[in-house]
Amino acid sequence: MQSETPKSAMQVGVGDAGTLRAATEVLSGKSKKGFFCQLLPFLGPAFIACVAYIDPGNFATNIQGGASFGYLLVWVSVASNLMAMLIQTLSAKLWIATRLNLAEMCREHFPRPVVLCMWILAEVVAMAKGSDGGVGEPPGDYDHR
Amino acid sequence: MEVLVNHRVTTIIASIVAGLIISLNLFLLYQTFFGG
Repeated sequence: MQSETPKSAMQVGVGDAGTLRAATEVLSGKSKKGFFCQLLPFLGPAFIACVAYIDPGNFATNIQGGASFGYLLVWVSVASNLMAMLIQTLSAKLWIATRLNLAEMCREHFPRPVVLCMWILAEVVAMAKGSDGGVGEPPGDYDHR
Repeated sequence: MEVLVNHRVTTIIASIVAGLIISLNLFLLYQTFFGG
């Protein structure tokens, strides 16, 4: 999602050279470590992505939903989070493999009118989502009356 | 980087998830513009 990500992630600070080497080993399939040890070099960025993704807006929405409907809608939260994890994983893998994010990949592959439509749609979605998340308030749970 | 290639099942599940989200969004748009 970050547009200002450096083109070559291998060129960042010298301090994490070891981490980067470990990460590159895992990504190129050369690492002989166990599954959980292979995850370790990615834990730092993972925590950042977590904080950015499961933001206060999410908590507020979920708490509001719980206050209004009890445990009736918990399955929605669980299901949507599982689906989001899958989508995020695929998106991350896309960037690691191609060095292009999802939007850039769409620009490469779709005809220009489609790309422009998707851009406008994305802007509208960002505005609609920003109106509840950005202000730090849950969306009104009685919006749909 | 063949470790990154999706498993067949992953692709199928991801397609189902994408289809579900897109159709639910279409339903929401329909509901918004044509009452409901």
